[in-house]
Amino acid sequence: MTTSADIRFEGVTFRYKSGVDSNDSDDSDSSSSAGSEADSARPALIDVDCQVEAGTFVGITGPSDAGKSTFCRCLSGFVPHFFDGDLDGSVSIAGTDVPESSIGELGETVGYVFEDPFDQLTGAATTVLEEVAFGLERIGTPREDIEPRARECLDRVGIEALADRDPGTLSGGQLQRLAIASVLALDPGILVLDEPTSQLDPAGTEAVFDLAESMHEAGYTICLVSQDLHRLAPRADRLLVLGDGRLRYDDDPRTVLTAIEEASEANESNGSVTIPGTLRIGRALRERGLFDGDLPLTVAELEVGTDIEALRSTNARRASSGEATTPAASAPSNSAAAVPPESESGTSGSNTPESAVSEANPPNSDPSDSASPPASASSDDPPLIDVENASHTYASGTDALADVSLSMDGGCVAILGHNGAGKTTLAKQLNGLLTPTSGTVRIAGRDTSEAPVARLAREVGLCFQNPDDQLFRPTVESELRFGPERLGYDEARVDELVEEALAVSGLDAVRDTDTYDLGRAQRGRVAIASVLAMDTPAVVLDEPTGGQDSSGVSIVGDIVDDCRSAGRLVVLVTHDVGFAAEHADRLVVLADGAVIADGPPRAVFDSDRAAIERAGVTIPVATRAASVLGLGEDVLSVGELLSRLDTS
Amino acid sequence: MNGTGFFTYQPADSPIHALSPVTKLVCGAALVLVTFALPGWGGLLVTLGLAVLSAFVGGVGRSVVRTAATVLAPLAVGLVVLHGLFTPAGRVPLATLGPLTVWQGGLVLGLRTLVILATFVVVALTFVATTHPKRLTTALIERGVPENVSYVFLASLQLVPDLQARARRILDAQQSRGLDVSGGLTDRFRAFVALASPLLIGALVSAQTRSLALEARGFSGQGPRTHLYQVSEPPAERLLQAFAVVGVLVTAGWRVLA
Repeated sequence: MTTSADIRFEGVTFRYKSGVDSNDSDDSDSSSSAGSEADSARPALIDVDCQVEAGTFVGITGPSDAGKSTFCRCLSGFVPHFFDGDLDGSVSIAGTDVPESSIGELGETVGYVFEDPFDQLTGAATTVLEEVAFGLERIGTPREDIEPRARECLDRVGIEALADRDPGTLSGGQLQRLAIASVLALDPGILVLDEPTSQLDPAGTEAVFDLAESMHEAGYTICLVSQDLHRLAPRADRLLVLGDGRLRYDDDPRTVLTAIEEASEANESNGSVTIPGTLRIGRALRERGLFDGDLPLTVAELEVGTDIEALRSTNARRASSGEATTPAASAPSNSAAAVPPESESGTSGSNTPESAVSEANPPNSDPSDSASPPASASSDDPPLIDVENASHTYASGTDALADVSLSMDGGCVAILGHNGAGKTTLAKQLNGLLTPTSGTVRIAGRDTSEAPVARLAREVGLCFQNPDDQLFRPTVESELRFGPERLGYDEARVDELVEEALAVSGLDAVRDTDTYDLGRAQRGRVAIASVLAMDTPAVVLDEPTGGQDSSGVSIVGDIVDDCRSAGRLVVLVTHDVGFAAEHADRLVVLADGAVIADGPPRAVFDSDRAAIERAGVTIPVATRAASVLGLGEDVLSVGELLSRLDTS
Repeated sequence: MNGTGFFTYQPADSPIHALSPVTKLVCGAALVLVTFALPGWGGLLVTLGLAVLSAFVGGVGRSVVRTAATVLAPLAVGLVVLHGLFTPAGRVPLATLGPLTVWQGGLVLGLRTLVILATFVVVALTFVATTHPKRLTTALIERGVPENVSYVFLASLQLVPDLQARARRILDAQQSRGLDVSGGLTDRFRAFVALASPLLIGALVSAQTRSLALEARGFSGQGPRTHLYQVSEPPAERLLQAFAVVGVLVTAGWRVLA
């Protein structure tokens, strides 16, 4: 490692020059959180003062367009050397003024890892080893030292065994570790990771966070941008929260999050930071005299700090005095909490996927779910989507789906599983982009192998994860018009559908804005809205919460709920298990192309948890917390857990 | 072929793989040039045989022959038919069918051109299949080719499959929004616009990220550079290169004098 380095920001204000932007970041010169024209003149950073001592793990968070990426770009010298603009104040690294050093020179002190796992690679390496060696070659490392140093860096990030692999064959998580190894090769003292996990599955995300933690323990200064405070807060020494370009909070994570939680309670916060559920739970327990110590950032801390015996005895006392209802019966009705105890025991007694399947068919069978969508018009009608013994083998020989049978007709179905489990292959089967190599898929009774995709698009709208693969028209409104126009709706109906989609997606204020002037979170919502506007009976959304901040996730949740209540089928392909638990009526867990669990969220989480977690499904924090607190095994949200607390 | 449908380097431990890229480049070029200069069929077939033999010695013979056949098949039809019918060299008719005459001289010329092309294709494919791209650029840089040019060469090898994969994703996304890519001319034009715009913008965004990452890893640094691989050229290979050059000169001189 090179010399330990201090980071100093003194009165830093930066404004991008018009037209200079980066579409892969959350920061945009012309896109504020509201994205309005008035805000386009706002600097990306405003009067930021901050000092970071060497060896500190700094977590950086905040809503979209808050200035997080610009803050990081100042560290690497991308601002002001690459992104043109007006920089006031002073940024220095280890006493060196950033504007006075080149990006290459700063690269020897600051290693920068980008959000996109692939684009940051050289594109000129045939093996992983060559990728890491690239920087060493460029700084003139003696030939005999290049390979050992490159292998050492690969070993530090845990992928030395992949040294001879083609980088194009690695998973997202492996690619991010390769990117980290590549910058480590230059021996920097500071690692800047700008949303490094937003495109990764839970396993890849966990690996990158663990690696950042181990680099911190090895003495590196870590600056990590993330919306994932469940993982970031317990690891960071300090948490910086940016908002509208200003540094809103700068303290240890517990203090910062407690302050935000209190401000949120007092309606002084815009709610654009997702507070870890454990903190809210700990606070509620403390108010009841059942939690001692600092508010918990993890379930383990919650378990340690809670007087579980007292909680249980309170519960037992109330139960014996007849005050308490059963946990299930006391839960909010809209969260399907009224699964009768008999059902619960029935499920837990048979921890097999089959049991979950049997409880799940027909979908939305959870009797307590007041938000369940209307059933199909007639029992004689074919289901909207009917997958029957479908398997799919790619030309390369990869078996992506294995004998999958699913029937979907309404409500919200979430498809979960590791990267490579077959989720996207299944999603592409749902509108005919792929047809099964054996078995059948029928959309509204029509065999997908006999209908063109353009025809099936009238029944199923599919929104992919990356909005940049989709958006091409000059303004948000014209982008939304594309789908309904292709489906042949008349002008008036197109107008109506576009207005509805703009409203539900929170995009009305930016309807005339160029989509590429928006931040990534808003572009993601434009992509979703453009599919909503097609007014198809079914909507398939691939990672709809990816890259969204707290308010963005909330808007996407509203979109899903709106579709459900309008009787549309929503299929979510997602790694965001918390979101799925909150909004889906049914979870389908895939592993190696096969369905290993299928049923209502409660039934799935209450079945074989180990098997589900092996399949890449992280059990929600609220579910785990309720479990360790003895409040039941079927809690889906923090709100529901707090409600049970009140009645226990 | 790799998974992307492109013919690429195939790692193996063979005598041809072990040769320096420069030796392979010089010998391969010499073989093709000599083929042009040889008059009779015997020499032509010997050079083609040498090219095919080197592919098999390199352990890539089957894939090289298969790919060469795929490339050459349409050319073979064109060359033999066109020359046979429209090049009346020697004016010796081989067969006549109505207004069409197959000329013996034209047919021979077509076949000769085909054999020369086949030699070139087999040599080129063998070179690609047995030469590690990074070792090639290292060898070229050591011979004076600028570093940036070698980077562009290596990056361009990956660019096409990357763009192809991105284009597939974009087409999937647009079809999912009702875009018909199988209709008439208007539909196809619409599809082109819906494909080209995100493809171009996406490529520019990727290029921006990549250029930042490269810059931060010292791409533009001015200091001395080193290389991961050492590309050695033992004396025997230098002798082989000299032999190849002399061979070309002797053959060319013999043709001129003859």
